[in-house]
Order: sequence, then structure tokens, then C-alpha cells
Amino acid sequence: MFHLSQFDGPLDLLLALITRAKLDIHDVMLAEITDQFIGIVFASDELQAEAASEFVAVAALLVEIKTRALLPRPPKTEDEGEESPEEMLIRRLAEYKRYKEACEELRLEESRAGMLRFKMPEERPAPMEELNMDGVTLAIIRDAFMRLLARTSDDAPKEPRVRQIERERYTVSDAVTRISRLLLGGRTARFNELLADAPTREEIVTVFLAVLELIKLARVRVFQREPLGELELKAEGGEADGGS
Amino acid sequence: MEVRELAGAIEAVLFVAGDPLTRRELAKALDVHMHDLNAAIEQLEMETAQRGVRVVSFGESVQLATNPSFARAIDAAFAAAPRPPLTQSAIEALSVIAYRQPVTRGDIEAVRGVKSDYTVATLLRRGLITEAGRRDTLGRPMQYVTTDLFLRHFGLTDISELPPLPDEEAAPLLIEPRTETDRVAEA
Repeated sequence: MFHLSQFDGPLDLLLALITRAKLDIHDVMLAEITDQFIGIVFASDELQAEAASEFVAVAALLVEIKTRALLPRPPKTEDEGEESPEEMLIRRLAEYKRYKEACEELRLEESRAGMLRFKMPEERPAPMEELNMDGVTLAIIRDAFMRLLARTSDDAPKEPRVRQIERERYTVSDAVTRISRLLLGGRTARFNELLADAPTREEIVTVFLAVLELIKLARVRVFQREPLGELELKAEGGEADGGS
Repeated sequence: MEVRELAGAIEAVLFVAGDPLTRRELAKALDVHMHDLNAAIEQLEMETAQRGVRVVSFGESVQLATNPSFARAIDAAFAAAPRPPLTQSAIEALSVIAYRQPVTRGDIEAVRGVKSDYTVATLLRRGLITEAGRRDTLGRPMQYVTTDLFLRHFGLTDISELPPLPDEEAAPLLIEPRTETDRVAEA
């Protein structure tokens, strides 16, 4: 007895039934195997919805063909009509059969080729990036080193091992309030204007975060006239917001 | 570079590579003309034909592989399981792609009569097929073609070596069923 899970779709099952009946798809009356097909499809209790719809669609087609075969039909007047459901199904079956037969051939090739073994690639660590030392002179290296020295002595003047954590002098919410006030009345402001004369790194970061926050809240619009140019800020909505 | 020397270089590079390399990659790496490279590969293929490790080519790719005659010896030495064959649905979908490429998923489903999205995804993941642009029809569906790995999986050197697709029997089919149904109609 055939079981649905053995088959790759309705065409596969139909082909198997035709083969078992020792019929050629050319002259088989599909109506004859309709009952068998439907019997197998509905005997299956583990039909998955998607697969089921494909089998049921073909079952319905088979029933239609069987019905048409039973009913007398008016003689076809125009010889160039549409393909009948039976012709369509037989054409699809024949086409499917061609590929299925080709698969048998491919299976042979596959098992022959399966005798080959390959090896894993050797481990090849990525090459180290090469330093480009073109045009680098001793003087340049010395200057770079001096700059480094100067920066470290500035930034970290012999701090004691025990560090103090200072209270935040600038908060994002303070900066947000300040920037909003500056932009009242549709005024534009350059990023530098938001900062004190000699801003610390902490202040710059805080104000920048405040700007990002305002962009996120859609309260300011930021322009930049050229790459790396200065940021210009304007209240979102321009005049409308200006009065409030 | 002389052919013999070039052949040696190719063999050495292929050994380290393990994976298949394309002829283009090889020519670039060894800084030789395609013509010289092809001559050297041809010589290598002949020289290694009877050896335990051979140079094999498929499509645009070249790789070192063991001689199939010794598969049994390898499996005995390492208790290696043979590569699992493709599932029936995978090989069906693959055959439609191979013979009719480029094809869309719809083309495959039209022949097989079953949904094939999962199967196509599996074939893509295994590198047996690849995307080849969209077809200029409604919905612009993606088209698929087979890859060099497909050729290797079936031991083909070139897509033209595919076993021929069985003859189209469609021509008589279009007439025969009609005569039968007409007979019913006349009765």
C-alpha cells in the first residue's frame, strides 16, 4: 500500500499509481486512477496543511476530469480551444517524469563523484599589516614623541594613585535647557556658541550629547555646510515655535 | 615561467588552498596568462590521473582531490562515513535548475507541483546554486543557476556533460487525449 509520506508531491504519487497500473501516461484514462489517488490522500492522518492543499488540488482536478468524461459534451466546434484539464495534467505529468528520470541519472553521477575526498584548507593567518614608513624621518619621529610627552604632562599631571570622582559639573539636561533658550525666536546658533570660551572635554561632550538629545526629540535641526564644517543649530519648526 | 615549473606552483598553491580555486584566482596569484595556466593545469590533470591525489577541474574551478579508486581505502583507514546524498526533493529541484537555468522558484514549482522555497534555500546554503539576477516579469522573481560546486557534486567538468534530459514526449500527448475524450463525447 502506498503512503503519502513516500511521495514528493501529488505528481509523484500520480506517476507511481500510473506505473503500478502498468499504464503509459499517453493512454491512461486518468479517471481510472482517481479513486485510488483520493483514497490514499484521505487515508493519510498526518497531512500537513500546506502539503495537503497540493494533493487536494490535484484530487479535485482528477474529479473534474472524471466528471467531464461521464457527461456528454457538445462537439467542439473550434479546434483551437483551450487545453482541457486532462491534457494539462498529462502534459505536466510527462514533464515531471522527464526530470524524475534525469534525477536517476544524476544519482549515479552523484554516487560516483561521492568517491572523491578533499582536504581542509591549511591554516593561513592573515598577514600582518605593513607599516608604511615612506618619508618618515628621525625629526618627524622626534616631534611626534615630543607632542606625546607634552600631552601626557598636560592631561595627567602626576596624579595621586587614589583618584577622586568629581561631581558632574555639566549635565545634559542643563545643556538642553540652555540650548533651547538660545534658539528661541528662530535664531540659529553655531555649535561653538554653545560652549564657554575655553571648554573642557567634559563640557564639549555634554553639550554634544544635549544636541543629539534635541535632535532625537525633533526639537532642533542641525546643518553642516561642508564636510567637517561647523554645526549650525536651528529650532525645529522655526517661527512657529519661536513665540513659546 | 616554464610549464613544468608553473605546474608545480599550481599544485603547491592548490595543496595549501584545500578549497577549490578559480582559474582566474590562480592566474592572478601566480601572475601568468590564462593560456599558460590552462596548459599547465591540463598537464597536471594528465600527470596526476593515476595518482592518489589528483588535480581535478570543474567549471572555472580547480582543486586537489583523492582518486576515486581509493575511496574504499580512505573509508577503511578513517572509518569515514560517505557524504550523504541529496534528498529526493533537493535533487528534483536541482535537476530543473540544471537543465533549464536560469529558472525562478515558480518554474521549479510548476514542474514539481509542490512548494519549493525550503528546498531552494537549502541548495543555496550548500552552494550548489546561486542567484543570477531577477527576471523581468511580474514580481521580478529571483532566478537561479547552478555553481561549480554543483558540477563537483556530480563529478562533471562542464555543464555540457549533464546526462541528456529524456526526450520531450509532449507532441503526441497533445493529440491523443483529445481523440479519447472526443470518442466519449460522440458516444
